[in-house]
Amino acid sequence: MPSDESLPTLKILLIGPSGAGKSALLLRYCDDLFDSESSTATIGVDFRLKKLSVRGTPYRLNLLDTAGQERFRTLSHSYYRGAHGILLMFDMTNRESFLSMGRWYDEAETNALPGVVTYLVGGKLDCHDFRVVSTEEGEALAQQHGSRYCEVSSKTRENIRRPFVELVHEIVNNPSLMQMVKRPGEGGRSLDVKREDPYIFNGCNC
Amino acid sequence: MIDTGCLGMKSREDLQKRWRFVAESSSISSLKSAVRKPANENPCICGFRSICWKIFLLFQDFDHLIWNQKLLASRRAYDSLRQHFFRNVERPNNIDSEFDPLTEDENSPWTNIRQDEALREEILQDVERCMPDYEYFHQREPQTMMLDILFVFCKLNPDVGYRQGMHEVLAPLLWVVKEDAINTGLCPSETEDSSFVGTMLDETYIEHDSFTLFNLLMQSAKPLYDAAPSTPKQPITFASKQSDSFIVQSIKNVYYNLLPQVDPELSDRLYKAEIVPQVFLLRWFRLIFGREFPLENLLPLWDLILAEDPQLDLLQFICVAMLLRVRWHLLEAEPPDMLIILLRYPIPPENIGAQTFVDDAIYLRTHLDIEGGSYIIAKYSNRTPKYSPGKRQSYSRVSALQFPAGKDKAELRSLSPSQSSSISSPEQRGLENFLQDAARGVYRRSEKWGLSNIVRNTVEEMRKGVQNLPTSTPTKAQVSDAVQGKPKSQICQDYVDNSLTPVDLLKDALIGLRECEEEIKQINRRAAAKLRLAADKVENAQRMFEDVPRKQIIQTGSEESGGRPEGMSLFQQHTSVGSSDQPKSPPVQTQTSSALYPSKLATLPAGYISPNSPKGGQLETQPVESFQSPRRSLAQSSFSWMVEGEQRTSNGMSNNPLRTGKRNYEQKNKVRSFLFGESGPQESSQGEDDSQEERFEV
Repeated sequence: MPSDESLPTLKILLIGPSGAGKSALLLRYCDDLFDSESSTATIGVDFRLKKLSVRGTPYRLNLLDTAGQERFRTLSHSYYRGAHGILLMFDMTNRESFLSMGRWYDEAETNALPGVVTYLVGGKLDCHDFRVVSTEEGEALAQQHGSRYCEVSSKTRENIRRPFVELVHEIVNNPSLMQMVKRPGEGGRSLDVKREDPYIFNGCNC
Repeated sequence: MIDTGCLGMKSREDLQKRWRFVAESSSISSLKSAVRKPANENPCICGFRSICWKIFLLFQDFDHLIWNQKLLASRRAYDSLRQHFFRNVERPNNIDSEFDPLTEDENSPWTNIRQDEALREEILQDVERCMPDYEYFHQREPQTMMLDILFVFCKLNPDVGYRQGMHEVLAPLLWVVKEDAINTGLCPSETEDSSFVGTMLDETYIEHDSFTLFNLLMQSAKPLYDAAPSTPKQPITFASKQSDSFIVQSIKNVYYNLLPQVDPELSDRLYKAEIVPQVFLLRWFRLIFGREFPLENLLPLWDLILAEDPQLDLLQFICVAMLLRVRWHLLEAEPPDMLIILLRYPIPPENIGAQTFVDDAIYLRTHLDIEGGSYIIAKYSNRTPKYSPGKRQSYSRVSALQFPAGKDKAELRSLSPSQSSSISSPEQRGLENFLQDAARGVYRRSEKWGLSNIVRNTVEEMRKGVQNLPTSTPTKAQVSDAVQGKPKSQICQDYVDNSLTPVDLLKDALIGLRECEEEIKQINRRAAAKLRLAADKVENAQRMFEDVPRKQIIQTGSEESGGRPEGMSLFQQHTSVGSSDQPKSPPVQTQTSSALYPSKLATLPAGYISPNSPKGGQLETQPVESFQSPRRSLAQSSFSWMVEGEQRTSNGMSNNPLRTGKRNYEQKNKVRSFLFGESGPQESSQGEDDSQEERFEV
């Protein structure tokens, strides 16, 4: 598929506590599959590809699905490298899950490039009866961190594309972020070891 | 799949017939070749996989008497551990009512209960979604067993705790033990042999045996789960950090050291495609390839891994072998698709099998060069990579770029033989790599007995010696025998000699501890009552005789209260200095009980204590601060060394047992990296790490 390879590529990271439904969201979005029986804990990180057109322009999304367990976060910082957008996801039926989002925002802000687009997603919208986090709370938290907010259900497909479309929309409208988007023919950046070094070494001055 | 019932394939005759395969093996090496044989001659495929794994991990010997002893001891030990760690989970009512259930006090047993509950919830979340393709793992019973096993393991290893992935290391072990298990009630044994097999495979002990295998395997796999020393915002790159955790070191070694040596073209391609190695290697390592292959392929792979290398030193070479197997696909793919290939690794065809990676890895370990890599590539693809002399040079330049600058030559040489071809010959390179591997294996075992210094010095000397060897002198095999044979066999023998009685002692010690605590609580209550009584008397007395010294009366009171209560007899059987000798100071009793065991218990088998605990070393006994102090957790008690051997240095210097775990682990890394020619972590970075950890642990 040569046409796919020539598309500009956006890197999007999914983070959030264990069991929030990050992998299920990606599986539904990329492959339109849902099976709660076959879900497993993500070990380290998983990776998926998806093509998405926003306002007639197609993009290729590299989606990184990270492990939720907090103790893994010390290792996960390298996944943030070059990310254009970060989806933060929590489980609306689990108060602890929501309360941990502040730390996940810290994590994102510490590791990602300044100006990266963040987006808050509340998962398991279908479990009405067990819901313990209100829409207002979700929106307030998102607003506090300058993100947009949306509630999804991987089970029923409700809103499943919305976070991705809105996130990509915001990324492509951000000229400074789009500067680092790789396009065919200008992919030399990644091969230039010297240009990468400063980022790597400046990164640990905190 | 093998029938789990007794009446199917595991009829008595059948069992005896099959038992032959295991019984006929007279040594580990004959069993090693047996597990490579085709189905009907392979004990692992004939229903004795769990016994083979027990032999490789637990028995390490072929004396059936020892098997029996070790197995029974391990089962008893698990019972004791379970009983100990579940005391609060199962019987919270036993907690003294003087503790406020809502307290935030760290020392309160209620805080421990809440932490235990949170831990169990965390584990359960993963256990419930473990191996979803297998109906067995959806059932409540195996899920509960896994939860309990992991819980006990975490309590026993508080320095690492629970990490996602451990459950999937446990799952295949549980599966194998359960598949082989038989109901001894339905299969009454008539001969000695079948009774023996019955004991070995008794389904009553599925949980016990799975724990034992898991605990032993995790002694090697645990470092793969420790991510602590890595600093934030520091991606895994070619810029090697000395404070890297073991898993990061392993990933780097595969990607930036081993692979470039055997396949520079592939290494170059992956590097240029910006494939971040930990994306796939982290999972490969931590699950020991558990997600990369379906269970039917994974188990034969584990057969060989456990047979050849229970210390898991071979994993890095297996990763390289796996990369070489898909190298043509990787070279032809676009970067995102490359990642997809690596994360959804193709299942090897049935006639080849995943176990072939182990033999490839063994070959690569001693043929760590382009020729060795090309041989493995051609073996499965009939295509050989083409390297012109000029091209080869350019690749080695790329791989040189991937190594940290500022290392001195000696370090670089041991880290990356490919860059020092002018210094050492290929034979020497292979030998050096082998020595490093052997050293690591010996080191990991030896640190459990505090032999690390001796071994490190010996290995260092040997390495120096090897570097000075002329190329034509002894063959690799000869030298490797000399390197591996002596210390390892010696250590294995030590292990066998020491591993039985200590398990019993651990059990006794735990029981003793519990009883002791009960007694102390009783005494506590009695003393409090008597003191109140005495105080009343004093008041009365004071009222009557203003001039009687108050102090004297209180003394009388407490002397009375220190009297020997009933029910102490059991405890006193274990103590040489009974309370009758020193009726005035009950606290001494706790000290006595801890002083009684340590010297013997310090030689516990590797399976039940973490490495680094001192061998036969005199343990410090923590003085009992206050008679009224609340019950302490095991980690804080004078038995703490049992659960946190890691947290004590080999010379027994440990001021704060709860804080020293990580630092000690770093020290371990330091020694480990020293063996690899790197220098250890710096003090300053340790400080950073500590604050880092606190930030994440909050």
